[in-house]
Amino acid sequence: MKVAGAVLDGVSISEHVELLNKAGISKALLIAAKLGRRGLEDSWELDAATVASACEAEPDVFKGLMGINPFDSVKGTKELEIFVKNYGFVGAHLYPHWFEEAPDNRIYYPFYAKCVELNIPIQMQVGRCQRYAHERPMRNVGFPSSVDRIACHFPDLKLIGIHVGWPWTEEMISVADKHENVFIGTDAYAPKYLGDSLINYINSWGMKKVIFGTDWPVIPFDRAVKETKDLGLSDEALEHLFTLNTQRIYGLE
Amino acid sequence: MSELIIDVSVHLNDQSAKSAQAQWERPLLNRIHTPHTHGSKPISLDDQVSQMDQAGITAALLVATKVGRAGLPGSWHVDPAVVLEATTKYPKRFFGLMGIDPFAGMNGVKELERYIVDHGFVGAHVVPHWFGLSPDDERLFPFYAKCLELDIPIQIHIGSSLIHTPAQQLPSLGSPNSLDEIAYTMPFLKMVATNSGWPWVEELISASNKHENIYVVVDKHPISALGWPMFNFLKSWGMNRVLFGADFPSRRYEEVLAEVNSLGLPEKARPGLMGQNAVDLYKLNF
Repeated sequence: MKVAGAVLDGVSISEHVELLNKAGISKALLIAAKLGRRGLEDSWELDAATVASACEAEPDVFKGLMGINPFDSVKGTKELEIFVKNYGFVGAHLYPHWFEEAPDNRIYYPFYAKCVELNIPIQMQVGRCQRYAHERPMRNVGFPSSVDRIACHFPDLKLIGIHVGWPWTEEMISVADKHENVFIGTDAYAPKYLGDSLINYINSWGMKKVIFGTDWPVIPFDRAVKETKDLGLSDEALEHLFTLNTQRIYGLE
Repeated sequence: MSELIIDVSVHLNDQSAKSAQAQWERPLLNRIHTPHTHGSKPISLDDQVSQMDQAGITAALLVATKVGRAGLPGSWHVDPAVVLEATTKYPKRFFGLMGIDPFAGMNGVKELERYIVDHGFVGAHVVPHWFGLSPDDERLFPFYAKCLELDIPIQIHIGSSLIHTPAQQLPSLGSPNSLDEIAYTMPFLKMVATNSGWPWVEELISASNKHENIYVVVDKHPISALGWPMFNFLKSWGMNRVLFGADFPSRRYEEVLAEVNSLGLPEKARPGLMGQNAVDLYKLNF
């Protein structure tokens, strides 16, 4: 994972919007990310109020996604509800590996139920995870088949497997194809490495199943857009990937 | 004033219950510790109330029982509307508990909410092993979360299970330690372990002692058959955690009460066990 030094130092909201604009991205889903149990080394989270204020400052650009910490239990589901109902957040977001349990673990189920009640999609990382710190290695939990199990229990829940699913991209495609409400996000990997089978999926039978993302600051906006355009996708496929699918899944106008 | 006695887990045993249980084998009932004397005759709701009157039972929590996946032989789901009729006809005698079918998913969660919010049911009830699930199965967690939101207790069958019909084998999945797993992320969920936890009575005592929101119902089995650790728990260190139940209709009230009277229970332990703990936990208004 290589991130430009200037970005690591942090950018202001207006600089953030400027970077998006330069790359030709008009809207972004901004995550109040929650990474790991509070108190453990390297755990980190972004206050949802910070995301709410960014959305308020740039209402045409940002929509909020609420991060999930399963250990917040019903306090967390209430908080999710508040940020969706009162602050216009459009979905939820989960990093299962940061909580060291697979996505189909019971500890997340109250949040899935709340997403169904609120009729909002949830993004969750699939695929292997990084070893972020030597002192705190995390095991891989994001198996696409784990998403299959959730989809069987919550057929109405809109699930987006973000970070592609590699090295189980094929498996992720199979799960997205099987379930009407399971989708794939192309973020966190440079688009030129997405792989032939996913590119073929986006271009044909999975045209309505895949949404564009960067996981910025992991992939710079301009690079992600340029490389995606260079994948050789049809105009129709590109429009679905960049715009139409996300609008439809998230109910954005 | 007569003694406050609450039977916290009562099932209907009327004609509709009997026909649903037609595929159950009667000998099973003889395998429960005490002789089962109700026989195969249905008991009408009015008869049930007069039996409560005779035995001096103040009130009972009446379960809209759901056991087994709908459609499988021997599965039995009581329409909660029938329980609602009972709680409407006999207010303050019956309080409703909503049965949970873990396979009902979000429709079931909505139905639970409706019966609590609109119809005054006071809690939920689940028998996980009837669905082939352990109490800590993920499918139950949306229901647990809803119970937390609604601030209601949920009764969970804990202990070994019987096989009610050869056509639907039921594994014994009600391990008390599964409650400990639930409490891992849901420490404030009020879990009421029914059926005494046998043969894992001490494991249940340990869970209830560890988590202040885990309660124990000493029903189905005679208290004396549960052994000294449970008797000691309910009269001393677990005095506020144990609730009386007869598991009607599987045991007769007079027989259950006679057994309680023969225990040599200290006076200070009796009111909580027989009713006050249930009134506090379920916030019952008389």
